[in-house]
Amino acid sequence: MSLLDSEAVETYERSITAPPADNLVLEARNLDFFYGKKQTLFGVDLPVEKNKITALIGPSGCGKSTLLRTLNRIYELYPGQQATGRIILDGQDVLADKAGIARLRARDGDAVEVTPNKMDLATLRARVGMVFQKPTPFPMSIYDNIAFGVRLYKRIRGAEMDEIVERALRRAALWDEVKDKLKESGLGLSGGQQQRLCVARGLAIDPEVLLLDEPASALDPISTAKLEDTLNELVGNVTIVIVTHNLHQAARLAQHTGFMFLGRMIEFGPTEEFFSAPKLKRTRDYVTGRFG
Amino acid sequence: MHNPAIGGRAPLGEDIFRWLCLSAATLLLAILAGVVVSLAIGGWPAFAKFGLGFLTSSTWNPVSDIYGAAGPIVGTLVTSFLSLAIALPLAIGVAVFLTEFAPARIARPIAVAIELLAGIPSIVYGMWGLFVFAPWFAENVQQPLANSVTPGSLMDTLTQGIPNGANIFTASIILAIMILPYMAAVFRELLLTVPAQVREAGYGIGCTSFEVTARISIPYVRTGVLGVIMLGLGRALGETMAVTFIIGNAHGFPKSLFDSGSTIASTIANEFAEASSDMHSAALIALGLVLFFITFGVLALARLLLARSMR
Repeated sequence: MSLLDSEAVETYERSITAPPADNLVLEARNLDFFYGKKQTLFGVDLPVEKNKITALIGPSGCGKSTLLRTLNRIYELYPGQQATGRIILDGQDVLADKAGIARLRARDGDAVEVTPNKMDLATLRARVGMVFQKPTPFPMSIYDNIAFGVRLYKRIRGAEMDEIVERALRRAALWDEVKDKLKESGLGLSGGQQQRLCVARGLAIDPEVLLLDEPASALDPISTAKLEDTLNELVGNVTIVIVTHNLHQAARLAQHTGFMFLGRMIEFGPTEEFFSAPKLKRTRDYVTGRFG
Repeated sequence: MHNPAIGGRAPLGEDIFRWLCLSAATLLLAILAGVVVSLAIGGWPAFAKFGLGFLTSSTWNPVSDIYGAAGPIVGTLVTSFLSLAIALPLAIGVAVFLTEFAPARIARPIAVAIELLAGIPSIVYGMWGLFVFAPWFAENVQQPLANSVTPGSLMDTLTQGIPNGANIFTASIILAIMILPYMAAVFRELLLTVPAQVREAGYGIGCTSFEVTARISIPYVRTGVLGVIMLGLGRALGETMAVTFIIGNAHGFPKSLFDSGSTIASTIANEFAEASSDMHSAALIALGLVLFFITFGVLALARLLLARSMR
């Protein structure tokens, strides 16, 4: 197979079927990403519809996780990683700080119209929450795992906080399993419970978008099913972007699916059409298991 | 199916291997027991003659052959804990800076430098302390303080002493400088064990660097932190040469932070060569046994705390 050999001369055929522009809560446009000198995203577009689940699929190393990590700028913890392009969250460009605009102008010329915007990273990350591949409970009690994040933004204590914690745990379908041991360490839960605790922690601070980076890859099938139920319940209330290796999971959960390949967004569209009648041959090959 | 090649392997090698491991472990225990027993036998005359007074009396007089070790015991404990109190926050600061803030280009050389600092022989620190630090301290801290404090105040009580810079406080500072590289290096290693994703999750809900460090990274390694403290304390308790240089070597009960004093290790180092009477040698060996038990007790306490915090 000469997929890689032909890469140099190939221009990538793309097909993006975006949801109505009015419904978008988050949108990446023409996004490049650099890991040091190495470019790993090439002109990626990603429209994210409000209160729906958007799935990102593609072979390992295609840039799904990288794309996710640009959306809340968590990549900035590591010097040398850079994103150039537009990421618009509720009309605000989250990349439009001084350096971001300079990079954009260097790439696209002076004609680019961007409203400068000094985005506070902590606030951005509260608005765009993230759940990781491996469960990441904090070294504190189950209750505090959730209350900790809330306390960063609101002065809440006592009964009001109890209510928020309970509501978050219920939304993550974890309440019944932990309601009698809220004071115990979050590290003592099973892997699946820990992951739902992380979802609950993300939900508790009312993010506009919740990013999930292969949240089920470290879980057994039963825990995976529970996590998927949880996500299904959230449709209509929370916007979710989920990276997954599991095509069935994408088909089961998402309203929109994007297929990425070698750092490009190849095809994006409504999930049903995406799987039943993909527009591009490469997508068809991937979803039918011919490569990947 | 039975595989003759497996059944035919001689278990002799396995037996020898197991036996070697067992003897290594046994030897260690035997040496430990031997040290304790010989210390107990050697120090017995002192314990027999002075009884509990050996631990509670502060009269240490080789001329009239009367030995009470309260001075060195208190000196050991005070200098150790004081140096720990000085070094721990600094060690945490260094380690957090290296793991959280410093770019990799700078962090690596600094980390190596810290490990090299940990290898400097203690006698070098002692000399530097006596010839450079103590005079500086006497001139720039002790004398100004002595001139400015209100007589009779708490500060006055704490800082009384001969203004020569050789005292409990400067010894503690030198000790702190000595244990700092160790503690910082181990603490850094500990912080590196915090999974990147857990830290990212902290930033991911909008924490600042301080919140991630104080509320997530440090609690994540809290059992290890106790280990770092014990490592520093263990070194401080037994440190001999540097302290002997700078603590002033007075046997009595230290009356203030700026008073000369002694530690168990410094007393033994100073007097063992000149111990004239049998009782003097016995008292010094008994001191060694006391130090052994203090260190042992501190470590046991650490284990206990560790077990409790793991629950």
